[in-house]
Amino acid sequence: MPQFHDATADVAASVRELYVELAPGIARSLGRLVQPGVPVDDLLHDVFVVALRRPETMLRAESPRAWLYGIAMKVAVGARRKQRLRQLLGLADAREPTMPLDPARTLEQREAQLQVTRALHRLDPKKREVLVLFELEGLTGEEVAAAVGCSLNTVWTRLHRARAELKQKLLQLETVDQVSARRTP
Amino acid sequence: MNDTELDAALGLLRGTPPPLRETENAIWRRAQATAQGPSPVRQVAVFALATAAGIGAVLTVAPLVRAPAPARVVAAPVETRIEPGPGAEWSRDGRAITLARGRLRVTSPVKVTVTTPLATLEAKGARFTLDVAAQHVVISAEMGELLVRSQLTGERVVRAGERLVVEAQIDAAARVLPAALLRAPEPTGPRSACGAELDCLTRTAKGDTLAAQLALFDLGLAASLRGDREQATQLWRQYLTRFPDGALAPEVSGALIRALVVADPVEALAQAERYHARFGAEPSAGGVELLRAHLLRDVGGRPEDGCALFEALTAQRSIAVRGEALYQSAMCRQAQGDVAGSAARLDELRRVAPESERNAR
Repeated sequence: MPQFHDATADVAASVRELYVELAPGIARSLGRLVQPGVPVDDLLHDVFVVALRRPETMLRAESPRAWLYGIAMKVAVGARRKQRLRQLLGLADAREPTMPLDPARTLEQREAQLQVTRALHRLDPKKREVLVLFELEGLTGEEVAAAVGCSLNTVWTRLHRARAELKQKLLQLETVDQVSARRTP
Repeated sequence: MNDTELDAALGLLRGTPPPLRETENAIWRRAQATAQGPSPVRQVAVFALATAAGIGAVLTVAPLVRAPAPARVVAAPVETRIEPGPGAEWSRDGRAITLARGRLRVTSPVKVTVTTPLATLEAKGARFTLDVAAQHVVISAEMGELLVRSQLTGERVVRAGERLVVEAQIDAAARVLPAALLRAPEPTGPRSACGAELDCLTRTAKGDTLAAQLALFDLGLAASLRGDREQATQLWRQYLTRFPDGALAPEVSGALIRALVVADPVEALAQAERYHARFGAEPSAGGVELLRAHLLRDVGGRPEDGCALFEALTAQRSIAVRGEALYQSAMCRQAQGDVAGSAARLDELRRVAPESERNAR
């Protein structure tokens, strides 16, 4: 008896595989690219709804990973815009970023994590996107360029500036903390 | 901070757990369920199509269900038809009509007699309009012939298309001005749909539409025809305050100036200057410009300016305006001792406007 190949099932399985592999990283990136307080679950859901509706486009892309991160960047832009509007209308407060509890880290490490996260959130969104994708999620320069929709040279320029700016922000935050510590009896 | 320290700081963020509240499987199932539902693009397209279909259906069906316009029937009048204007004071006794004040439009296949304070007229198979005010009666024949009797004009026949003005003695202040200039011109544009209904005019005048503007203007005209100048000026001032750039602003300004000339000539001159600045280029500005020239010369203490304006107005195309300007120009020249120039102007007046009342003087 001949065996029929179910193409639809294959496509769905491929999307599912990509989800299993990439969902944690995409969720982390989304959390770092939107304002604190925006539900990342919903944004991850939105990214994979697009993937499930257009699986052929995703699987035909040169890098499905870059394609998915590209969708995530667009979803993050939309979320940032919505959140700004909500804040403007007084429906949402601006919040400081928090860190999910990681039992593997010491208290000092968690404080340092929080400090870096705060500094990251103070970066310009375009520079932050490149820094998050390249430095934290390990995408290649080409994948970052495909995901954010710019040239490779622009990626390197943004990355260079993002690192310099992040150093500056971290130093500023350190200074502020030192001053606060001295004031506290 | 150097690059190594920065890398170490960033290393703290790598591999942190994703900030999710739901489990990854729950989010996946939710995404699958949403993806299987209708796409937002399709929903928008369906909504747009449904809206377009609805509008199309309304546009298609509406002309079919709309009641057909009543056919216009033009029938020969079988009895006397009287259309009173706003505020008209009139009565009828068989074929005898009395009009004390206001406007009447009469269409009569049979012989009728109309009595007004200044004249009496007889008509048969005619259509005509009468305007009775405190100082004058204006008789306009639209169809047929009218026989007018008055102590002021004697017996006159007014034919279709002709207009006769029977004037009483006018106020002392107005004597320097020709009475014709003091009358509000016949409104030539559209009139309020309320017709003679004062209540309707008052109600309609409260809005902001063109109908409200027409109604307010007509209310002022009705007051003017009643001889109530104060009410008329108050209504027209109200118009100019509410609709400074209204469609009828030139007409209303002109009417207000005419109403003010007798009561407050100084204010009339100020208004006429404003009119000149705003509407001086209007084709119908000639009448008001003549008034301004009179007021400059006789009220404003600027005879040179007034005479210069009369001179300028002798080039007007309107025979009525040109005729009056020629006459006043002749008077100006006579006052300046230019007898030959004055005679030349009067000659021109006889040539240009042989029927002008000024020729009789």
